[in-house]
Amino acid sequence: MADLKLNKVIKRFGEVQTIHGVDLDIKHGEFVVFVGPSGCGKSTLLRMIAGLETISDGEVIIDGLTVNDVSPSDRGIAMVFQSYALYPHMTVKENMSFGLRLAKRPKEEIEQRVGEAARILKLEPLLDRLPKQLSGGQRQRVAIGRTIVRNPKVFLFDEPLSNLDAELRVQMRVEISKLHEQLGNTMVYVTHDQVEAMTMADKIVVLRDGRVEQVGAPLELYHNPVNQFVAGFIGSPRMNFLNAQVLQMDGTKAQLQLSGGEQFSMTLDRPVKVGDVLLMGIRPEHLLIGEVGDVNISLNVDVVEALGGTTFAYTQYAGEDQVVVVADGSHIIPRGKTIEVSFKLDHVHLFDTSTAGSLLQQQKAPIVAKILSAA
Amino acid sequence: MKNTSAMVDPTLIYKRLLTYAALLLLAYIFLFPLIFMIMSSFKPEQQIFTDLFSLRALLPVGDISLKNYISVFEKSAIETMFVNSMFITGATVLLGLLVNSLAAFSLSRLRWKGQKFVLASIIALLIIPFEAISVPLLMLVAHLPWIGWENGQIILENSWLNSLHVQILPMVANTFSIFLFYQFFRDIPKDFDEAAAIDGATPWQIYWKVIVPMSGPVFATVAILQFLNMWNQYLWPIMVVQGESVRPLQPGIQQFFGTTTEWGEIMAYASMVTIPVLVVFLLFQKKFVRSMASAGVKG
Repeated sequence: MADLKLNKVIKRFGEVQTIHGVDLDIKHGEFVVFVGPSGCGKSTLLRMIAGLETISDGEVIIDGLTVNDVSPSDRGIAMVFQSYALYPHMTVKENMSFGLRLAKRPKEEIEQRVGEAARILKLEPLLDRLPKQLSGGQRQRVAIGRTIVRNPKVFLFDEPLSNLDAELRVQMRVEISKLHEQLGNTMVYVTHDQVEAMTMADKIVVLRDGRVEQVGAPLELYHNPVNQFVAGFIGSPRMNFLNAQVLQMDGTKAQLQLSGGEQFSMTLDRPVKVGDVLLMGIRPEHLLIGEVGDVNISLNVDVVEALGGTTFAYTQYAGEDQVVVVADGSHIIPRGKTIEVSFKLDHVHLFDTSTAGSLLQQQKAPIVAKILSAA
Repeated sequence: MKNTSAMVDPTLIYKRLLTYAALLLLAYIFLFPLIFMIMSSFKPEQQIFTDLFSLRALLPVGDISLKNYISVFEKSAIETMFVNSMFITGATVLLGLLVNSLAAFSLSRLRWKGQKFVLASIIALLIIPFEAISVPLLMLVAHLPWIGWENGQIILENSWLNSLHVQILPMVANTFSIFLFYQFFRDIPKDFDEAAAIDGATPWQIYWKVIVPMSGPVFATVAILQFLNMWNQYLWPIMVVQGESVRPLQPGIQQFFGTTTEWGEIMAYASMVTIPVLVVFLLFQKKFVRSMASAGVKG
């Protein structure tokens, strides 16, 4: 087990800078997920930790040791690749023992470590098979087994579930989480799937364009996103955004009006100008049908997707904005009709349209702390 | 009502017949010289000319014997030349597989300064025929020193001429082979190298334990192409070898022409030179075709 620190890590490819001074502090035993859209730099960051990419500036520190110039095999890391990277000409056992054989470890030690990893991952019946004789899930387990055998300080996962079907992905997610509980190692996991991030992580690092947007526990990012990007990225379906004009300011208390004329007031972190248009965020699952919240709005229903346990309604608000509603499957939402929904002010997010930063961070902090302590 | 499923378009039948006829003609053109050569090698010269314009030329009929083959062994040092050819070809192929694949590995899997220039140079060299560089190469090897071994003593020679190594070493590095390896290696995902690097493999171990085992088809292709090239080498051995002890089979046939006028014996010599090539190709043809197709390279 080991700490992992990134100090102002920068990556340049020629003239192009892709990672801009990333600072991160990962405690030993934490399961940290790097998440973000394609091209945000999450895989590049992971590869720099692994030693597969050079570090243009800054430091990567593993277990107190700066490893910028240390070869990948000496950093105490092991990596699971998106493509599994199982050597096709070697059996499962040979794949798993490859590193140990290169290091000329004694035969008994190799047998013991491979056997132990195979037992943990239920690979014992498959040890003599070639990768082409395995299913996708089995190959993924062999790739994980290869990392366990190395007994690393830090496990690295580069989108390991991308090539699996939806059902297998759910299964493997649970297995990896169980593995983390069992082994207790520090794990860094890269994915573009925010559902994986939310369900697996102790801590999520949201990246965009080579910069860290926010670091925090999954529920912290869900309840108190620091900006519009994080708010829209975390949560599925994504957060709805509506314009809210400031009618009046009384200190930090703002009187706001939506496009459809509905008004409500909220206390912000700082005063804003009267007349400014803010961006109000409300999650689809926080729009309530048939219940009275703090603010009621009318929506015109375009499309309804009834999944049985849940219903998704794609609607229009004030003739312009698309709003997604997630309701319990027992609600019948008529297509082409107008429905009344409401939301609680506690669930409202407000963002400055010029900076995209949240105006409710401090307001929500105590609520989030309460949720996290109860979780 | 007509049963349309039983009716076959006559045009389709004519097209098919025409295609088969063309293929048969091509097969005859390609196979005729080979079959004629082998059949004639078992016949006396008179019979070869008697059978020349009939089907008998392609059939093992008449006075069939191994006399021509026995004469070849009596009139020439074919066994020595055969061993020379096998050694020269075998050594060049084995060394070539190692050297050319290592060059391609370095160009496709490693990063170093000047890499792009070297790759561009190799591709540019593809268009230069051997004949264009044979004379400067001859001048070079004629003055290169060599440390040899004779009668249990180390000797220093001041030329490579009239040796086996002059027929091997200049032929080992081959730009087309490097190109074939490069194209194949480039398609192998880099994830394998990276996984091996994390496992502690050195570049040599990545090459030997990961890349080479995955590259069977291209190794087979290059081996066949280099084998064919070296086995059929004529110009270079003629230029650098005078002595019979190190002469390979192909220049040997020229010498054999001078010792006999019997076409049956000449056919026997030619058959013995050709058959190993046929065997090698027949054994490895599947891998060869697969590799050429996947590399997207013709010819």
